[in-house]
Amino acid sequence: MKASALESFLASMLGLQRPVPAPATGPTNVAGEAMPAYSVDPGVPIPLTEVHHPDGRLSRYPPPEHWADWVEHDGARWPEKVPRRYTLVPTICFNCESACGLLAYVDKTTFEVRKFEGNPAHPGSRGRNCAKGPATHNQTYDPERILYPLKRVGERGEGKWKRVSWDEALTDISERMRESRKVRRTGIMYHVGRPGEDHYTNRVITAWGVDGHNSHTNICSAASRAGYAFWSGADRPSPDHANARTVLLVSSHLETGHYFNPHAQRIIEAKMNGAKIITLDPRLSNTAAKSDCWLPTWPGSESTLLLSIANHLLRTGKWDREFVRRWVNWRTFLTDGASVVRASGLPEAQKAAVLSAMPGNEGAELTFEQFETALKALYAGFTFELAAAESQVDIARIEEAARYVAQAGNRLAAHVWRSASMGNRGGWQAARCLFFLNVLTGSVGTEGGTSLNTWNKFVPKAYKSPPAFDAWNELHMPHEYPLAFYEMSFLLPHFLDEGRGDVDVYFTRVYNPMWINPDGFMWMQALRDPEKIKCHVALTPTWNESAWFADYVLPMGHAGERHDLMSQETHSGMWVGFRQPVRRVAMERAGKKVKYTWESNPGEVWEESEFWVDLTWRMDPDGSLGIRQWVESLKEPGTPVTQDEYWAWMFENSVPGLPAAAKAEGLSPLAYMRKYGCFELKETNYLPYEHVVPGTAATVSAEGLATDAAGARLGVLVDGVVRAGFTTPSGKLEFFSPTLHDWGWPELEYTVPWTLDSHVHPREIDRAKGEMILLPNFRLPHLIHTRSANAKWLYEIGHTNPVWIHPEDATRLGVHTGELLRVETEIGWFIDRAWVTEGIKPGMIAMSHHLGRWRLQEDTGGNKGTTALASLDEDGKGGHTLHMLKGAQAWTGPDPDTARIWWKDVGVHQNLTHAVQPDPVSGAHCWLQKALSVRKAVPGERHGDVFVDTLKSRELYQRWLALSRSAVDHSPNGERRPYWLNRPLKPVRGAFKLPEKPFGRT
Amino acid sequence: MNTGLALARSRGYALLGDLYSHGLTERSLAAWRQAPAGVLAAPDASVDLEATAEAHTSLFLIELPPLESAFCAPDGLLGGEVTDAVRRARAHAGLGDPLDEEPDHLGAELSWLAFLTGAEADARRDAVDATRILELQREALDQHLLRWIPQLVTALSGFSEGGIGDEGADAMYVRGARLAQDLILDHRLAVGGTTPVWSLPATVAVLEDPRTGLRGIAEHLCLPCQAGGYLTRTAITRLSRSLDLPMTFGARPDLLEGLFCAAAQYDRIPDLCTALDTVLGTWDAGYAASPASGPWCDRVATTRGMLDRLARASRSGGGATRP
Repeated sequence: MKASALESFLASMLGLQRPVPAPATGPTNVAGEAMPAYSVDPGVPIPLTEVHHPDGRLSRYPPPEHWADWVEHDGARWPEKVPRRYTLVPTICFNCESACGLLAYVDKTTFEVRKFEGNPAHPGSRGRNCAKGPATHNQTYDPERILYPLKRVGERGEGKWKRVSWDEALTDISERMRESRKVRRTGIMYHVGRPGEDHYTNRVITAWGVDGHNSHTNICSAASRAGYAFWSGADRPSPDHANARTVLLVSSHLETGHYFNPHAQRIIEAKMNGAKIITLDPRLSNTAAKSDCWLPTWPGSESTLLLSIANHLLRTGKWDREFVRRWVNWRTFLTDGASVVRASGLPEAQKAAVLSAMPGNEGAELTFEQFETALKALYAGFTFELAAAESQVDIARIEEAARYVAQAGNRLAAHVWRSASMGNRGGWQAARCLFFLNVLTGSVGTEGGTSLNTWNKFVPKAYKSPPAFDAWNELHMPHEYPLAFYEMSFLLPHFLDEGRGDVDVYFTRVYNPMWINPDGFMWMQALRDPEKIKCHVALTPTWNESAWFADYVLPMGHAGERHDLMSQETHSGMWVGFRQPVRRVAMERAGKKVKYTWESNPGEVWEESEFWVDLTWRMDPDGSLGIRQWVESLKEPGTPVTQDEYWAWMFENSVPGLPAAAKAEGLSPLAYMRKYGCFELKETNYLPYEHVVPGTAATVSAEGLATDAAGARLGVLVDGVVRAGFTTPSGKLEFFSPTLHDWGWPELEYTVPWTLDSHVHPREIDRAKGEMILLPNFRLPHLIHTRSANAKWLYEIGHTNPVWIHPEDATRLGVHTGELLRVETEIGWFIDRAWVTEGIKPGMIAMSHHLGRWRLQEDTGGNKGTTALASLDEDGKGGHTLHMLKGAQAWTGPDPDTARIWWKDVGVHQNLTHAVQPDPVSGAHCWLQKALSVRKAVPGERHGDVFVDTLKSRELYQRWLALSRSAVDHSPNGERRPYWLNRPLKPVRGAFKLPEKPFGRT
Repeated sequence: MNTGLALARSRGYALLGDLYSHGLTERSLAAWRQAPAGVLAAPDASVDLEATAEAHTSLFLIELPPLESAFCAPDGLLGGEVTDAVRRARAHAGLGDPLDEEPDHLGAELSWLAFLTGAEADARRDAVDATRILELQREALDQHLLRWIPQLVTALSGFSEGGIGDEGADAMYVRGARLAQDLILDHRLAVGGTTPVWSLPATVAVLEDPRTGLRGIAEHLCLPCQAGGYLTRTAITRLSRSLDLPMTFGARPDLLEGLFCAAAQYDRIPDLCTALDTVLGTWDAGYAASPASGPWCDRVATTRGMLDRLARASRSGGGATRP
């Protein structure tokens, strides 16, 4: 540029306004701005806190009184002794649902996070973490993460983005939400993976007044939830593993299960104290390998095996008769069950034996002895021989397991979450049958037994709560699935495809529906269609396959970058954990003002808690929709609530014991939680259902449900005393389920714990024709679906998902380890490498679906070390092909570790080839797949390639839909769903009324 | 030097810093329209902000990282000693970390200069001694910006240059970078004093190592402080097109390695070396205007020598092209 041009430019600059710097409160520089704080090494070593763990191990941690100012030498500068000064900020891991405690070491000079270690003050994880916890650092500094809000520029899926400000994104999205909300209450949808927090977002959605919550539960835990809820009213078990005599797991729970780390450490404690571990799993998982008794059952036979143990307990008298008498709804079985037994397919002799014990006429006296006789007769057919035949397990092993269960007394800790329950059609009965053993042994809520989640999990109330909404979104809970747990989210593309509705604003929140759900190409079709999904906002820390098709990609924080409150039923106690944006907290400790958390996070990564407040405020700027009030400050009306105000109110008013504990340390409750990151409400909470309830019962039902004069539920009358009881309609444990009976499932095999034929029952698998079962739903200890896919450290531990195949099958197919297999499902096929092992039953193949990530562009859409470069093709006739172009690769970036990626295989994306298989009762996707053929790949078939025919997808969807029993035909009261059953967000009672024009009915 | 000039520099740096941190926005466009026609935007030029935003993302988030560490760090990685040095220098002047960028990002470094020149303007307005502030400006220019901005501008010169509204949304960022360089060079002259001698990290003689293959050569050439400049993905792609050699895909070293492999396969290594030498020649020319570019020019000369040796070895069937 010529000098004169430069002068002209400089001259023009004098016409511009200069921004005014913020006034400083401390020492200033020459420009009047605040100086940074510096510190020095004190040079005096501080003794570490030593923690002796119950399993004998020893850990050492910095003492909490020094967390505000901690000095360590910089390991990267070794052998030099360069002190680094840290402030230690506790937070909660975000990589699975366990909510383990982390402690962030934040450099006091640079405010960079040096590392994450365990938080010894956390009652659930007790200072220990799995690999996913410390890997949070890897995720925080992932060079491929999304640092700024992005808006689509080209067509959906074209991969062209522009960076936009938060203000621009919020304005556009909130206006769309406002317009939608003004015309209907079913146009906004929030589709969430693992929430990682307990109430905040649900409260905000409720404030919007829409039926907008759509969870992933139906591909995760719906079946187990159904099984436990029909029994007890609570939808999750909370085993007290540490104090158990026997631990019974229907899964690979010890090393990869739900609440993996907190449970695993307690299971091992129990084992070291002499407890026995039993594991049902067709795969030799690490859990199975650590078990005293491994039962490799044929999928779908688990209920039969568990009922054979129940029969053993009943036959040998090793059951807690008194507990069953007091707490089971046996009277209802004796009165309402007779017709059910009469109509059942039981052998005539057995049927007669059961019926002979049941009173024949209405009004007859009901005795427990009648029930006892009927119960023994009812389950007499579940012999060890039958169990051995169906499960294809050595009878001696089953007998051994039965002995261990019998020895447990009332200290049987049992758990099922995914595995058999989510694998099979009718899998919810596996949970029913498993909890039946808890009931028979009286180990419900006992020390060493199995509690319910509601007794060990605590969710405090917020400063004000919006009322329930008056709406019912048929895209979430269609009339065909009145008992589903919960929203039928994995069927959404099919619902949209067949014209059930559309979505105005669709949020995917730390969730990748296209990759994680079955039938992903149907998802791709839906996500690409702006008529069906008008605006898609992906809230995610990293790129994922679904975000690629979004309109906005908004970066949300990892574990150390956000506020959330979280509690989990990890053991017999009760606690709450506080997730914090650690850099923000460190900056505020240093006296810096931070208005929004994105100011302190890398780039402009935000947190949802602040985002929701801002978005909700903008959605109703003048308050005319009645929404804004729920995010309005109490202290400063007319302004949005801040995070400090929100959490301070909650900790002061809604967490019993916390204010006193804080006061004892001279802290406010909020300061206490910021310091420790957690608070223990109860060390133990055994037998809460036995609590005596004050008050006078005005009415008492046949089962003992007591209500007061105003009709409010008091509890349940047991032997003349009103006790807390359970949250079922009867207040008792419902061995016989009136709900199932009255809502279209009156058969014996549905109303009581029983076995249901799976869709992969041996009769359905023609092994002579080469058909096999594909077992996809087992976890890996170090990876969680989409969430951990940006952590190089975790992928280094394991990055492949080969097809496990038994040597017998491998010989039949002529395949060796490492060679390619082509696996054909009912809607497509994929190619993956074989791993020949005796760790899987013959007739089955197994392949974890936690791997197989891909991206469509070289430099964006996913991490190069953990995703494969792929291309997509369509034939225009429903056929979709995913071609793998290139595997993982090393690259140079801000993290030198990325140059050390030595692997190429990052797994194969099998879920694309899975048809949707909704269980007609629980609504769960039944993950086990029928493999129509498994053969050695031929030339031209390449590792990772996938083909799917979506015409077949639609066919399979219709086939499974036909199994459902609609509320339109079976509702006993004109409502869509039993009112007592939970929903994540429950509308007002009026919204339960059946639709006037149900979809598909003329 | 007067208050007005310092203030003008401060606002110019701030505007340019904003351009590279956030791309062209509606707000900054209004300011750019006040600048003389031809500097960056004609007052009435129509602007597609979607296109300029997309260009900013693809140019600086994907093609060319505008960070000092990417150019000057021994390993070319971000967030290491070079970034820390900028952070320390900013802190030395009483300036904290930028909110949404690494401190050694082009936008952040320009904003740093905006801060220092703004402080100078304040001092002069209040008739306070500005000597210390000028020292800090000199330090920022000599130790940091002048050591890599000319190299960034040269790398960007591979993309078409233009003003706001001209064809090609990325062109405006190229012209803006050139403006920033002119401003810095003019500023450095005004600050006075001599530019200190400095050096790049030591040269790695890859061809002396018998283990070096084409991969090693490609990595060496893709490391700016070793090669003497930043070889962009676009530049590598152009090489492939000009020589009609097949391209692979991947990170830059992958691309270049693939190109060397293809050249070896078709006996075109000398042609590839010649084409690369031409690129290095443009680097040399691009650095001429900067007083601090001596070490870069030396490094370019070394690399050109290496390429010449490689070409000769290839012609004579030597082992230097061993994949």
